[in-house]
Amino acid sequence: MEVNVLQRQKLINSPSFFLFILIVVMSGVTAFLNPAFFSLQNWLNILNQNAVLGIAAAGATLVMISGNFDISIGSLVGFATTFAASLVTKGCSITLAILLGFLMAVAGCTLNGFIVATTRAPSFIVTLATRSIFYGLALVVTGGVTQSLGGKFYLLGRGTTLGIHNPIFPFIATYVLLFLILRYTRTGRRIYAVGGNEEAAFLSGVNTLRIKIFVYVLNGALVGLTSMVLLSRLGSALPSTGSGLELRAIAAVVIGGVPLTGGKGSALGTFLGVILMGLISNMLNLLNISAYYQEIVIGFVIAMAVIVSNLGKVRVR
Amino acid sequence: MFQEILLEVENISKSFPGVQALKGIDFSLYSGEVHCIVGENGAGKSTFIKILSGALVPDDGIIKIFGRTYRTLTPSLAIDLGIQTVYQDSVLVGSLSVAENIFLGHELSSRWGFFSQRKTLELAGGIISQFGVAIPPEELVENLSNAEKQIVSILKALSREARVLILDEPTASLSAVEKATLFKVLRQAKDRKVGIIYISHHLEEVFEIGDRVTVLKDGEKVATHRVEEVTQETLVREMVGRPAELFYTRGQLSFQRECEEGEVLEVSDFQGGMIKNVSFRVLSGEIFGIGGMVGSGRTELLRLLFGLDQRVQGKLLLNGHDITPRSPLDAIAKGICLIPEDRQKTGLILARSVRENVTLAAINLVDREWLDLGIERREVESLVRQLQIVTPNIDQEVIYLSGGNQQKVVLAKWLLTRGKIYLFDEPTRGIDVGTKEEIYRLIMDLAKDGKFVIMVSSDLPELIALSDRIGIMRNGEMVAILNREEMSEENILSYALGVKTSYGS
Repeated sequence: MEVNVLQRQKLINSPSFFLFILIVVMSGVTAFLNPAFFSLQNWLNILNQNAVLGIAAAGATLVMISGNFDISIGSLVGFATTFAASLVTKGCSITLAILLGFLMAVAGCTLNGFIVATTRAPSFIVTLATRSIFYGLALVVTGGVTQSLGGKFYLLGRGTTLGIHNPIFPFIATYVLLFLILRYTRTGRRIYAVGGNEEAAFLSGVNTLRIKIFVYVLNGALVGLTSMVLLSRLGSALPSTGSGLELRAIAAVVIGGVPLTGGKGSALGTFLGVILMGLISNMLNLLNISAYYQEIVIGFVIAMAVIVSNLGKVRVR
Repeated sequence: MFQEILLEVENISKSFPGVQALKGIDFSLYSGEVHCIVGENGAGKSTFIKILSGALVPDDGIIKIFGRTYRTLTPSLAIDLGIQTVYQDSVLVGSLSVAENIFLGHELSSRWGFFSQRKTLELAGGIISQFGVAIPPEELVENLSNAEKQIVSILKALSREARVLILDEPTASLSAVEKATLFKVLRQAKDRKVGIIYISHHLEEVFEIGDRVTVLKDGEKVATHRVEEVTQETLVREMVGRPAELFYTRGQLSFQRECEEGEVLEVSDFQGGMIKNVSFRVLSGEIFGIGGMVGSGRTELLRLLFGLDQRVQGKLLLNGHDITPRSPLDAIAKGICLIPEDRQKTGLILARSVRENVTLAAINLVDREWLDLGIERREVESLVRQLQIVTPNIDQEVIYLSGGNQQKVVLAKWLLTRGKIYLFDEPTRGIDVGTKEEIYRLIMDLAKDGKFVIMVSSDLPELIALSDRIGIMRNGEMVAILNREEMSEENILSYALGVKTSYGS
């Protein structure tokens, strides 16, 4: 009997469950007010519009499960996109420019990971510092001027394949990858362990230093992907491209059930978190409510997510 | 000699789930007296001072302070009555000055109601020099040595008109010179008619500073003596003297094992941190116990053997082959397992499932990135059955398990690595009696399988019941190795406390 109570409580406390119910209820209400909501086209739109946030949030999920933060990713997106675009304006081939931009993002996050892992300085502060550095680099690269691709490179960000918007493909692929890593690989296990209790993980033979660096490198690859999807969609880049992305990504991850201390979370949770954030914008649009209110509503949802997950803790103890 | 009774307790009892921590304690303290309390680890000393400082509520008994009777105290009432407690790990704010720490919580203000730095420094300086100590009042506490911090804590307590000062192992980390300074401060306090309750593991201190001494044993008072009327030997005997039936109900297991001859693990001249030249040999199938007081270097020795901490020198040899580990991962690969003292802090990932905790060490031994969850499930489920871990299923987060079952999960983790050498640090701390027996059985099964078991324990009956031999640690050295016939609580404590020093004498 006690077992049943525990099981039920676990399900109810599971953030994914809470999110799923919330999404169903909100969808129901919106569909009732505007039947266009349940069209396939609308759902594809939601996925398309949140692909950039989604890919970035996948990286943030890894970093936060390991018990760390990366608040430099918004600036890093600014740097990677402007770097690639400025290469194009200087006559570099589009493929090479994209590749180098991607590598810049990987390099930036690797730097973060290296500092965090080797110095044991708090990752929040480390990435606060590199955030400023990356933004400064973007300013230097552009001289403050918008860098345009001149109409090239539509592939990742615009257009459709088989009726599905192109950004949806990397978005979904990212989450399949995230799911597999977290659930089926040894590295995934170790990431949870490092976030859950670094000392116990170390005493069990986990190379905690390597895990932390790996998490940041993979995050870098996802930031690179985010940058290139965004660049392709926008067709041009500014140092401020991607600004605020880090906070929205963290919000999605937190809504998805990763505690700030790490050790818990899932690909599904973050995916639902991203969808919920996208859904709120979409609903408010369909209901003809000013976009200005979106920020307010999202704020409420984040607060609610955190309050609910902490209520669970109180009950358990 | 003593005029006034400051504090008197009658018939104090306290029990925790599963343990009777204190039984009918009577105790008194005169003004200007140092009353020492001695006893084994777990004799009830901490519980007793927690009751006097108001941190715990007794189940029974009364406390008389200056003639007034109280059933219970609260921390703030105790402080108002002038009872000040200084714990082992002093609670000072490192980033504030000595003076600010002394007046923390009752800050001095100037005429305008602002905090007065000048007045604070002046008054604190006065207090410090009154007690004949040389600590600059403006120095930040984080720059002080441990001894100075300890003294500042005591001055802080005395500055609040303490009439009763409770000290819990104040000399645990002090050198001889620092100890002398501390004792000077205490004698000053005695002269001011402060009554001091002094808890220590070092019997020689009792004779140096104490006026009376009370011996606690398993939560009961054995005796109170005037210090000049008692010897160290008597105190040790009183600390261990135990009713026989208690001993036997704990260990109705068969302790007869035959040691397989042949395989031998040799710890050769280990040195590092506080550990000094420790050497001993363990036969396969043997349980080698390690005894000693808290802080004698037992945990530190296990950490060195597991490849943690900086080793200055020393080798670990298995049948003559060097298997000295360089890191925990290296240790695990060489078949060494550490079951740490604080399983919640260093043994388990509390937020993860039984399954993930059990496989966490073993996955580092196989070079395969992709996990086979089916095999994992089968392996973990079979271990859960084998160790009789009580959990609704293997996906339950370990935070929801009882202490004993958590300990079994840690053990399961190491069994899965097929380790050969098991280092246990306080394997049954905080575990209820029933599960304790199961843990004992598991440890003995390991030995029966021909593994090497090295076990640190503060629980003397446990140590004696399980161990084939016992090494005694004192101040980072292994001062004696006792075999079966020499094992007695009295003998262990004598070596651990330094009453007996040279082995064999």
